[in-house]
Amino acid sequence: MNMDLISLTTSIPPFGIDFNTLISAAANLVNVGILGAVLAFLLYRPVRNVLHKRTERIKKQLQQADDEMARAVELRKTYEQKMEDVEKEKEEILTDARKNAAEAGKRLISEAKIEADAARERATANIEMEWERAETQMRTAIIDVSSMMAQKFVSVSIDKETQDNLFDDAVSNLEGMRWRD
Amino acid sequence: MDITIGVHGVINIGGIQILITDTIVSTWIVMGILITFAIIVRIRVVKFNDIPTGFQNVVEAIVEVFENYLRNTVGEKLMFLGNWFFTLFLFILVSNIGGLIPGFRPPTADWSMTVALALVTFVLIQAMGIRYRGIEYVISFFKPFPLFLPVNLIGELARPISISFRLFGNMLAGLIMMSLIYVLAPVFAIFVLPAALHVYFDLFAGLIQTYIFVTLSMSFVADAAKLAED
Repeated sequence: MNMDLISLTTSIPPFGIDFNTLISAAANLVNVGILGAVLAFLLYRPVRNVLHKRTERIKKQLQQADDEMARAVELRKTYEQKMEDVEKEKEEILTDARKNAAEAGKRLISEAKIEADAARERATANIEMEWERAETQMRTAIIDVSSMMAQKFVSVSIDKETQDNLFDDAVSNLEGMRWRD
Repeated sequence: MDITIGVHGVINIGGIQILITDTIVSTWIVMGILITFAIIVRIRVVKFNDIPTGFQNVVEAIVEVFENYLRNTVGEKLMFLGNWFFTLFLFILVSNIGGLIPGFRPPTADWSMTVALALVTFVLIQAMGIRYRGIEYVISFFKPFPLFLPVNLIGELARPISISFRLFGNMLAGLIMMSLIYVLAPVFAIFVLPAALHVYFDLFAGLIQTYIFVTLSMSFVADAAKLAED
């Protein structure tokens, strides 16, 4: 298209494939390119950055929440395991305690029985010993009485009647001693 | 309304004359709107809360929905192209919806604009193809056998050119239809009928064409970067 002619005209057709169209297209390209750069700098990138940062922050928070939840679940599992262990330990302690108590009871009863037997034996032995001592004392008493009778028999002029009386006294004394033992 | 593109002046850069057309002016207006919006966002973004409300909610929704849309279409490895596709999406959307404003000529109703956008897509297709597929991508132009190279090249060029024509054709058609309506509609209907048609041609078709252009651009680029094992 003739440039001189164009400079005189006030309008051109909307469609034409010529040098002028290419120049206009280039001018339009430059305009849109400038617009693209400005929009990228002022609008698209800043807003996108805000959105991305927010998305990242929310993702991070969700991840943290998930991690904390996992930790909490783990902690709960550990706690429950510990509680189970404690329960088990408690049962073991109680069982041991019952067993020990039963054994201690048996042992005490057995010891008491042994001690009772020993006490009885000691008592029996004491009784026997006392019996023997009593017998010994009785014998001593008989000897004493006999000696006394003999002494009286010797020291006093004994007639028949006196002798019988002495004998009766000695016998009655002996009977009285045995009754007392 | 005139469907020809008005020329408001000429800038001479290095001997090359650049016409200041309606398209250029409209583009500057759209750029002004979007840059103003971007500046407001940049100022307020430092005060954004964790729980968005009001303006923050709208801005976050726009970026978040777009990111999800981009991710679903091109995949994670091409997310770095988000800047360009976001600009493309907003620019075409605002341009198309701008047709609702009386006297505003959508930049997308000029083929020089849509072809410029499509050429970027073309460059991205080739760049991503070579970056991710290397020599295999170049060899694919010679398949099934080397004689097919011209056919493949034309096919490769046809894709961005076709989407540029689709967008341009739809927006220009809407512009022409609205011009005819304004001329032909009876005086009593001029305040009702055009409003309803503006909703269809500028809002509905504008949204749909934006979605189609951006989605096709993304798909072409993602397809070029797709490895055989992907």
